[in-house]
Amino acid sequence: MTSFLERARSDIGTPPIAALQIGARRFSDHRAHAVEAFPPMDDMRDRARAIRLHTLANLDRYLAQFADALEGVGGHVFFAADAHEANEYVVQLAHARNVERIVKSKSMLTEELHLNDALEAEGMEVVETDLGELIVQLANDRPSHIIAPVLHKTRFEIGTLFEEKLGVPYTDDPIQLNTIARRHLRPLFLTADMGISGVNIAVAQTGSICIVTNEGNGRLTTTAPRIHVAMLGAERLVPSIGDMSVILEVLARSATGQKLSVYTNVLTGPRRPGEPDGPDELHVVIVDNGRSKVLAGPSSEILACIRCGACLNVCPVYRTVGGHAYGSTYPGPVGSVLTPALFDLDEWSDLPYASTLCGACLEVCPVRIDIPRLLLDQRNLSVQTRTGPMWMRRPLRAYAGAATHPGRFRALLRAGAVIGRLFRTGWIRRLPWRGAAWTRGRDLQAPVKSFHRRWKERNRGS
Amino acid sequence: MDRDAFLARIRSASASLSASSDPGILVPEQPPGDLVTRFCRELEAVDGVPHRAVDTDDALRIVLELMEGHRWFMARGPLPVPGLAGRLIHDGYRIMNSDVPPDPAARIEHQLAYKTLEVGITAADAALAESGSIVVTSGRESPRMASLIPETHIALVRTDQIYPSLSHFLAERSEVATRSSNMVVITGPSRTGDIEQTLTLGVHGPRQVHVVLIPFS
Amino acid sequence: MATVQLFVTCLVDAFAPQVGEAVVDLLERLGLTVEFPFGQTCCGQPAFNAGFRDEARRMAVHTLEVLDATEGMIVLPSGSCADMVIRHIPDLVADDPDLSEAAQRVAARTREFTSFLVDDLDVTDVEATGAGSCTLHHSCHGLRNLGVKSQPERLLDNVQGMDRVELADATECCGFGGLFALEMPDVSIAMLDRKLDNIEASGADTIVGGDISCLLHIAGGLHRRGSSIEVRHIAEILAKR
Repeated sequence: MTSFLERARSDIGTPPIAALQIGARRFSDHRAHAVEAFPPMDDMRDRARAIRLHTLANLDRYLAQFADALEGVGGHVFFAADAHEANEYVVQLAHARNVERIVKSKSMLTEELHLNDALEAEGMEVVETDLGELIVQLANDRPSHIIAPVLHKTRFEIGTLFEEKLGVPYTDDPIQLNTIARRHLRPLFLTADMGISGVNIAVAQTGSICIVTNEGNGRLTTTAPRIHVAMLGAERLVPSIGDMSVILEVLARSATGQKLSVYTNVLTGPRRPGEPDGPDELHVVIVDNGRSKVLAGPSSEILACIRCGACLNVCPVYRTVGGHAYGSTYPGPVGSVLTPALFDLDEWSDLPYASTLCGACLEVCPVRIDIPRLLLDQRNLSVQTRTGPMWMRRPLRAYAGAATHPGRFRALLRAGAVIGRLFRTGWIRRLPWRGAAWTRGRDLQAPVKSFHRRWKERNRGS
Repeated sequence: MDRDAFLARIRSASASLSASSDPGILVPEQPPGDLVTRFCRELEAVDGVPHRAVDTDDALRIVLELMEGHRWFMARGPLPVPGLAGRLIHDGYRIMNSDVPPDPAARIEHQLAYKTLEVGITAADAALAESGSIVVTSGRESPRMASLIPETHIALVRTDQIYPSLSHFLAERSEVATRSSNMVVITGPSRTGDIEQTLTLGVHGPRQVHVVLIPFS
Repeated sequence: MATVQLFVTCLVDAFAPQVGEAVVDLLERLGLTVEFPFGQTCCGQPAFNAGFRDEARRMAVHTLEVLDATEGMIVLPSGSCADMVIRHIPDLVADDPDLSEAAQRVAARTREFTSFLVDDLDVTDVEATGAGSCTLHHSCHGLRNLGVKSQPERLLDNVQGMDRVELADATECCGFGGLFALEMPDVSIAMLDRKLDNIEASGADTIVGGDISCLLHIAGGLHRRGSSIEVRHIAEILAKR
């Protein structure tokens, strides 16, 4: 597999990244304005965090309560240990119910599980209905942002794509493109047999699931088809409806700067007797797929995440490399913690290093996840398992050896100054070995007579 | 995976986490001021259109005006303007049957007819001043589609049903969230910014959201 | 007269000793006695941020031994090293009760330089004079972990004869990030380029910062570009009369 750096290298400075950068900035500006206009935000963030951490500490109890409550209102619950079990359940269900066409509303979890592939392999038609996800699907691309999947695409690309794939005349007007998508998807919604959605928040006490969208595709997906399957990451619970409202107060503000998204949709079981519409069946697939491992490990705090994407928007690294460089379903700061924790630190050990630890992510996180600290912990773990940048060990050991013996440290400073004098201009333009990475784009000031020496001379002189 | 095994795995995974007590809800303080005025301002800010009726007759007049040029509508009853649906049918508007048949093929055929639907008229269960939202639930006479599939959504709400915010509403009326299979909080018309963050209204849901406020008498 | 301890930081020691001298000059001018614990070396931050905690811990313990033996406030011309001493060293040694106590004592006495001037000494005008225009880059750790933002701004605004102009995205990281600059050079350089573009667009003659690590990065980038913009630690500006 390629490394983060290799993937980043091929994306940096390209037009998609320029588009993404503008978009990410706009999101973070909107967030900043929304937070400024909402004085209780800090208290709400504290409360949201407390609710999420409390839920995680008692997750088995709340999951059981959720499953009981949902079954009590006629829903079906399936517990999936991993991606295979989750996909298999949906595939078997679709077969059993003679499902041919499936509409989907946006779900990062189904991306994580590769559910579309599993269904398509069985000959089923799977249609993404979020405008961004539809574009990703038509382009055979991957989302570059967890809430704005095509942040990296220009309207010109999308115009060409629609012309090719949907057989419509070329236009790059976003409003017309949007109308084309609406017309294309409307009959698909109305004739689909199954709707698959993710879940933003599940409520243990009532068995409710909450799905938040702006376009309304989440509502159509969960209303028009006769079967609704909701894919729920096992950690995405809160105890009560009231707790849900606390999360909702911070979610949209952090994500897009809206007070609430256009549709905050709360579903409690399938259509009830006498109700004129809605799905006849509701299945909630509760997915572990590594979450219990994360919960037991040092990065468990990351499971408090409510997937608003704010940490992506403010991250200077994400803004520079885009979402694809992270190589996983979850990009940005949250992804750099979640991906290695959820899957495999050996394979993803470079992600924790894809950060300058600048702290912008922590500053905006609605549940105050200390992402820099979690990244530091994972770096330490990757050093312990020798999957990190082990070339650093020798120089750092040598440096630590000097830095714990002041005499040696001062000798090192003296040696530096001697070498520094070799550079007449005071600047080093090329460094050997690993230092070449620095001088590829930056000069380095040569070391000079140290402060230690100057202090000594100064005090001798006085 | 078996439920018990799944939960046991989660239980042992979370064993080392400190078990804090449920912190409970927090209802944010709201600025003082008239809820109706605030609701109207916020609804406009999210591209919805508020209409302040002086009484139910006035509300009827407003709805009839909004219906002009349309033909098919779906209504979610019972509406707070008595006789509204009857008057519309009397005036020649066509009402769409909202009962989805149980047979899969018949269901699809029924739903395809929604493509001609132009207006949905619903009674909202509540309105939220802070965000300009309305709360709509499904029920026996309340199809979900009425507030979802037409290009125009007209919601009727009594002014005594306006709450300061979603948190206030759910703190006081949490049972509304679960008394039917669906409660939706609608904040303006359907929108997307997916293409270069250019705001576009009416992606999958209604392009226009009108809220008619009816004084409580 | 109050005594303060100068923890000069390893990068200033080796690459920018004039910054340490500026700190000493300024603090003495304000009537303080400055001591320099001669056994000081490095706080361990480079190793800590790279994930090498054993090495980091050894340096941290040495730093604690040197600093805990002194008295008075400890002043660092660096937000990130101050953050290491204040927040991370206590965590690193949390398993050892004696060291942990020492770490708490030292952390409580430790201040970033501009925060010490403004928050502890209540000084916002050091009667410095300068010329031309400057713009200020906020280094991440001081800014977000220690809340250092208004302090350097106020101090700079009171420098006679020097104008401070706004820097676009002044709070965005310059891309240094310690090991990051070496492990992810392409990303680091692209981030630096944005920072340099903003610095050049500000029209300032001088870019000022509070952390020599970021400043070495920015200076290296500007020099590679052949830019004539000067790079100064805030202590150098404030020490000038």
